[in-house]
Amino acid sequence: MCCGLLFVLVGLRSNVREAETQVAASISSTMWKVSELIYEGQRLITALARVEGDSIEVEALRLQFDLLWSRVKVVEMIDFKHRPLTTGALKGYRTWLDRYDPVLFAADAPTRAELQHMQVSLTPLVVATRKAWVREFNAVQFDALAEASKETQVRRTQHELLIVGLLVLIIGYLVAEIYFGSRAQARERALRALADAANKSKSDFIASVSHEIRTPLNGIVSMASHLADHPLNKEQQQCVSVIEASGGLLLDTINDVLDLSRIKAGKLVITNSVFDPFGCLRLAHDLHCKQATDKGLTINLMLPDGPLPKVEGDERRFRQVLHNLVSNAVKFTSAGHIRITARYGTNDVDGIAGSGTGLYVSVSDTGSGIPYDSQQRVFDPFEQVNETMTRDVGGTGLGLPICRSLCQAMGGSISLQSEPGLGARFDVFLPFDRVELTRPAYKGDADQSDIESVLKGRVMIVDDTHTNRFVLRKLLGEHALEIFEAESGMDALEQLATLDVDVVLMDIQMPGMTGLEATLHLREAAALAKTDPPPVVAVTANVMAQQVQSYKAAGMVEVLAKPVSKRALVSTLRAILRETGSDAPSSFGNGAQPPPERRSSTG
Amino acid sequence: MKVSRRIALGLLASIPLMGRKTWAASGNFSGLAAPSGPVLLEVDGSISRTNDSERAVFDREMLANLDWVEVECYTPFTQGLQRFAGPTLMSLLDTVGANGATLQATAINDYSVEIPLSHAKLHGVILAMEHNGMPMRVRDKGPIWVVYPLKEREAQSKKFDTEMIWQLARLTVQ
Repeated sequence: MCCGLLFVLVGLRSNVREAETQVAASISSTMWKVSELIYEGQRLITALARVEGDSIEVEALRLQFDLLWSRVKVVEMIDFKHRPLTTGALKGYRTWLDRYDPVLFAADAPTRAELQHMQVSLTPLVVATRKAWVREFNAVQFDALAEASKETQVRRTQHELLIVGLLVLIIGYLVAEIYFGSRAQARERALRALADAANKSKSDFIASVSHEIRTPLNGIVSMASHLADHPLNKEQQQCVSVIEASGGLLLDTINDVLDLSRIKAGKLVITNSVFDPFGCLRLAHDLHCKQATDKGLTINLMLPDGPLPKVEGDERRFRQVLHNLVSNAVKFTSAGHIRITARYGTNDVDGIAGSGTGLYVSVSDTGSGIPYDSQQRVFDPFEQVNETMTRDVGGTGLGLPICRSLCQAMGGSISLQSEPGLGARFDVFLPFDRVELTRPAYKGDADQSDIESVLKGRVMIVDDTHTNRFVLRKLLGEHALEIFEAESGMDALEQLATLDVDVVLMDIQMPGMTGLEATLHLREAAALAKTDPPPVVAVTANVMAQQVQSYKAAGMVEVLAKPVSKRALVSTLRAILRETGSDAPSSFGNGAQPPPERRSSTG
Repeated sequence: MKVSRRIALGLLASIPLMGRKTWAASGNFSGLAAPSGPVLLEVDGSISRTNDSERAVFDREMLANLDWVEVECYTPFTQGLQRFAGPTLMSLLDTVGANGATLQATAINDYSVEIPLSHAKLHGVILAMEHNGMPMRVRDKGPIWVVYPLKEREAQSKKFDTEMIWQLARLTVQ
């Protein structure tokens, strides 16, 4: 539209210039023609006057007559429009020429009287032409210019109307653009709000499901863990091990979903510790061995000879990647074998992920493989290479995207090589630092020694679920702790009004008063009484990042995720009890008895 | 624009040669025949063939014997399609052995314009002596009108307005 406007403007300017040139040329031409007419008329008058005294030169007169005739014809072609004097004068010429043409061109030469009459009659015509020219043309030259340019003005007006029309269109377009743009923005805002609400609902749903699954899982895993600490025969140990492993796997699945939420929110946290990656590999092998064998597959774990190093890294994330890859390999392989290889060192094979020193793990299978055109997409969330196959074997399609995100978060990478129909191989590189065997015992060992030492103190367990209270009590059963139980937040507040404890293990999601509210009330009551509130540890399945932040904001000193591991529980309590001095030998003695109305027992 | 041509008697040997910017006439360099009737056109200046001292003069018959053509065309000074007949300017220049770049054209009333010699060939200029089948009198812009055969649009744009001199009486080759 702007181009159109520019085109019209340029065209208008050009037309105006051309029209002005034409008008100027027309004026100049008209002036010249009228001037020539007067000139030839005057010359004929002169010639006729000369005849009076000399002999008659008829041919010369005829020539001059014809010259005037030709000038009259030229001027007659001019459109003088509203110039009556000039138009009248020209009519006079035509009459004069027609009258004297037969006289001058007759076979007999004209008489002197006739020539004199010609002169006398022509003279006023020439004078009248000059007057008319001066008055009507010269004096009103600018009017003539305007008159002559009338057509140009019409065209200019048309162009100006066109410009105005285009401007109106442009303005209309801009207004419409702004109007519809703002409407689109408003619609986008509304849609975004809807999407945010949907996203929040999804997060809430995930948190809710997480809680619902973790609570019973808490009972399963914790009890299995507790059972494993008791003397068991070999078969029982295997059973307990399967229960623990299955529970762990289920927990990992829940965590997968939560992880995706964290990854998408950019809140994935990597926690480093010293661990045995090769032990993890053996565990992964053992976990999936039964399933592979049931499908008629062989699953081989190939580790280097000699002592295998421990590394420093995120064990849980490593196990997650490993389980995902091995689980996928078993799922998508119907015949043949699965091979897991691992080594610590540098990359000496082209075409696989990673460069530098670290842990290299490869999981290959003889399954259906992945089509070439899908190999780049397998790491994208919600991309399923073959929907039919995915439906057959199950899975959310989140495993590989999570693997890649985890590997990247740990500074490593993952790559795929696959020949459709022949199988696939995933190579993982993780730049874990090697921990020398001569290093002092790592934290896990220290925790183990901590677990073995006896804790002393007064602990309140607040949870509306009897099973959970029972589990916690069992996990702490080996220690010399005085344990109190409360079934709700209100119950806890009532008991703590008259009871001193060293630490409170507080569930969050409880009917009536939540653990969060109970903690806030507890702190307020302590502030009024000008005493220190007991440290509160959240024990909950709701451990999404923003939830943890809200617990800390409410004054909770630590957060333990359900299902609670014995190690984490003891370690946390030990740290708190040490800080409060309750675990010291001189802390409150075993003789401190709780009020008789309180439900309590000594662990 | 439509052009029809008749071969003028005695001018079969008159073949134009184009120069770089000037024109050189061909043919013999002997003098031209003298006119037998009233002289309509005189040519002087840089010419090699003359019949009257330093100039060449032409009567109607001599001009009619040049490369005579008839054209249908438009002019800025007439309305509608016009039919003109007359010798080509090129044939006249060849006849007089013109050698120059410009023609000074002068009318009976001493009006004068300059015409590039190259136009003669380039634009097929004719020295019109008949208009719509009739000999042109002085009152009809005759006896000779330098006519550029134009298309209607060219005529409307006043192309060669200046060069189309009528009542031509003299050409000076410069």
